[in-house]
Amino acid sequence: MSETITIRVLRYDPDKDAEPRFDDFIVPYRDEWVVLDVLAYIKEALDPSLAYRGSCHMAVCGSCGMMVNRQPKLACHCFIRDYRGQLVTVEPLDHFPIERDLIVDQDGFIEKLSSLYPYLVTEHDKPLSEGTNLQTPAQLAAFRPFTQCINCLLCYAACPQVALNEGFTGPAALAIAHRYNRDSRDSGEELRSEITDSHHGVWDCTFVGACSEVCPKNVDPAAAIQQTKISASFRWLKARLLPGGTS
Amino acid sequence: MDVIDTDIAIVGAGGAGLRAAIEVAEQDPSLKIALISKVFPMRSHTVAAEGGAAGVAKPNDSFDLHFNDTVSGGDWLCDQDAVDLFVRTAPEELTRMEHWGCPWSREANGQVAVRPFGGMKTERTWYAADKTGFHMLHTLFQTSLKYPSITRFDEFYSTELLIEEKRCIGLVAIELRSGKLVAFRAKAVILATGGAGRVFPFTTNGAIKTGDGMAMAYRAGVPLKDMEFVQYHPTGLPGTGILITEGARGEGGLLTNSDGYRYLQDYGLGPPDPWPRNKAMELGPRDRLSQAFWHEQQKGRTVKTPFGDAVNLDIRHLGEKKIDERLPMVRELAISYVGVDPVTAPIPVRPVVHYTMGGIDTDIDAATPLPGLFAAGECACVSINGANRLGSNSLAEILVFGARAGRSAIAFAKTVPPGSDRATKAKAEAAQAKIRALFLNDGTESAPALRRAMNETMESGVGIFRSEESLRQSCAVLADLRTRFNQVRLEDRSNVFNTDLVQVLELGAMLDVAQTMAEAALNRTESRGSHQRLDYPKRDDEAFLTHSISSYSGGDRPAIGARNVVITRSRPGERIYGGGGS
Amino acid sequence: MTRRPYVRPLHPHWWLRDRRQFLYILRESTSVFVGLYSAILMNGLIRLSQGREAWQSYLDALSSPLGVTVQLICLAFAAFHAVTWFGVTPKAMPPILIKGEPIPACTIIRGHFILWAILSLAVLIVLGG
Repeated sequence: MSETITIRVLRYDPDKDAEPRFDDFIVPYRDEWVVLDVLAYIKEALDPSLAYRGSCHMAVCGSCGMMVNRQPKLACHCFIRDYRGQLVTVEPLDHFPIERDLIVDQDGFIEKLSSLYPYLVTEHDKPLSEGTNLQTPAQLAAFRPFTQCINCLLCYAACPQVALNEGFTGPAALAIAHRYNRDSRDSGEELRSEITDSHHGVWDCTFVGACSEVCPKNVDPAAAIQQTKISASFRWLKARLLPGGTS
Repeated sequence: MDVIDTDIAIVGAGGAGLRAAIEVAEQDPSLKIALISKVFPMRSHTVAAEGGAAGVAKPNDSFDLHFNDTVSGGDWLCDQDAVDLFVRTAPEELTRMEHWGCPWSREANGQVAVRPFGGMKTERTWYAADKTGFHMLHTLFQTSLKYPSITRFDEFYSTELLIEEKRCIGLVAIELRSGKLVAFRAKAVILATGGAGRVFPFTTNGAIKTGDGMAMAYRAGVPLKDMEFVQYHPTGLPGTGILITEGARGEGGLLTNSDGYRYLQDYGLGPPDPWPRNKAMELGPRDRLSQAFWHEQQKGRTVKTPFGDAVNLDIRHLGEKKIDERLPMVRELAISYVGVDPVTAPIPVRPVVHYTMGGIDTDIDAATPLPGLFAAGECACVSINGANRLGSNSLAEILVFGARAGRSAIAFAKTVPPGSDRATKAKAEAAQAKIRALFLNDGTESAPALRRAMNETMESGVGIFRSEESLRQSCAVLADLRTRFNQVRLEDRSNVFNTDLVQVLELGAMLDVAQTMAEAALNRTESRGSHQRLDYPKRDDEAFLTHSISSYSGGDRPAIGARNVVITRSRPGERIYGGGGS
Repeated sequence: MTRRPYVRPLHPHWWLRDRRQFLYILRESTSVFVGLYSAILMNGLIRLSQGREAWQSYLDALSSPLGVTVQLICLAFAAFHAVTWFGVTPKAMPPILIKGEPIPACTIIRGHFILWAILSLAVLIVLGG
């Protein structure tokens, strides 16, 4: 028989299982396969009940975040050739409730993101007749890295503070808030600071830096959070030292 | 069964669905909107669009030029009133995206930058590096969070439209996390469910693009239009089919065969120099480029790769800095998935199924023939794309017609009462019974086997070049598969995230859609745009300046009818690219 | 039946199961040793205020084998602490643009090391001279 590779997959069916267990699957080894291809093979040929998310197969839709050998990865961007000869263990993303098999509940993230006014906040509505805003390439470069987040949530799985503090807003959501704060067209930073400057905002972050290391899109949420901490500190000082400071 | 009452239900939360939802929320905040999608909005396939969105932006450009490019690019199968409206509205929609924060790439002076694109006479493609769809989708999704009247139902798989007295009064969907069936009662329904590239085995389309909305409308008696027109994108990665954007050629990329020769000059697209030059060579339209590949393959001049024949896309001469600035994702994808760094080596590429020009029959207001039902985006056919869509028109289309669908739905919703309790319940229970039957009946047919057979016959019979023989064969296979699908076996009988059930339902949708593609292709005995018949190589305006209309007849095959194309000011002429085109 | 999301408890030794988390906890724990050394210095000040003898016994304690070992351990942890923090400084500051290009992270880190070396050298010269 040609070369094979063993994939150990966490299984959990709330209809049947009291708690998660592992299933091993022996699948053909193919150089060009990513973990997502392996899961598709398992579902088609070995066990149709396997549940996972995945769509674009090009690392941009963010559906297929999961733990591969304990590291958060995009299954479509994780080649089994890098695990040749090893047992590959696939689990749902850490730090999220497991709905079934490799599918986790992401509602918490959407709620946190929604609370951050994650859209352009402007003082006045600009009429269409005035055309587009001007924004120089340098102004674009100031926030562009933080626009690259695909919401795959690998950073939440990598962050121990997400596990230790349930309320922590978390890396991706804070990076997206920072993206708007840094946008030359935006004036919503004060609004967002209600959340970003709070305990469960940037201050739950202890600068582990794991979020940036695992980010498949080089967003660098750790940088976004540290930079927000600096702005937050200035806002705190300003509110206390300057006349007219509110709190 | 739970019944959720709403004013407007939108199925699909990609670019078109989100744009429609925002339009409704802005125009009338009192209307309740249910935004229903089988995936979270940011997973929708708009995310994978790379190159850009077309809209007149430069002083040397005009609506007429965009109109002419689109109509000739579509081989005169576009409805010209729709194209007119589209080209006039696209710039303001793209401007609105800028106001909502879309990070468009910029000129040094801060103006939004535009790039050249295949089949476009001048630069009018707005772009955000090579992740335009991604940025548009996230901008729309994040902006949609502003509006309290939009309630999202993420990961709800819609199965059926509810019809009462020839009016659409809502739909039925499965909540995937619980397995529960839910009825949405709405005064108007907008379908924005995207295309159906997954009926083919080799496609740029994500796993979710299974034509669900098209099939839902079709089964409810709404015709599908121009389904035989399926676009092959000339530059996909062999093996995976991952898209390498046309922007790579827009920036100056070259296509060469195994001799290192720019073969496109042999197919009416030359001369090769000077380069780059709009509407010539590598910047010809997608149908012509994909067809040229097929001819090169017949001549044995393609490059052999472990994943089949390919040609080379060479962007080395752009240099590392420009590649990183303008085409970062192209570099990332090529390195990851074919192990080629385009800075130092050409990327192997081949044509791959990319886009369905056809779709749910809608008029210029996004209304389908079924009152209360609207459609926008790739699932719809207005038609502005005709027989061949120009790259970057579709990202503009989802905005223009998404917004239009929103406005039309508001106008309609204000004139009608909600559907009756009795009809809603009865129809929803009938839908539930169908799903339950899958759980109770022990079918014998394997869904993956049926899907593979469908994929194979679509590739072999309904591909870049078609013939009566190949199409008859495919039509027969598909009719047989549809019959066998009645005995499909559901393996997984559980409730929570039953993705086996979803795949079975998606397969049912794909089989319906595939059948309309093959049957409409068999019926069209001419060659036009992306529909190329080896046995009828010429365009036939006498007989086929018409849209194909595929209707569900209840039988085992669709009825194929015809409707005249709307011609306002551009008589069908020859499509001229290359030296004659500029 | 319906959904019943399962929350996996955090592994009791979560920080031992992953190299990245282990290094993070190691970095955090260096603060204990930096604190310990600060306490030793504070004690020195107290001893100094108590007169020559007290001060001498403090110095003797420092130069005893145990004292030297403790200081070496503190030095090692402080050095580790400094190195890890230098590594993350590029993230902690807003990007500085030069001709539109951000300064590369490695340049910032290298700058910190150079500054560290210069300051250490200056301290040695001042104390030595």
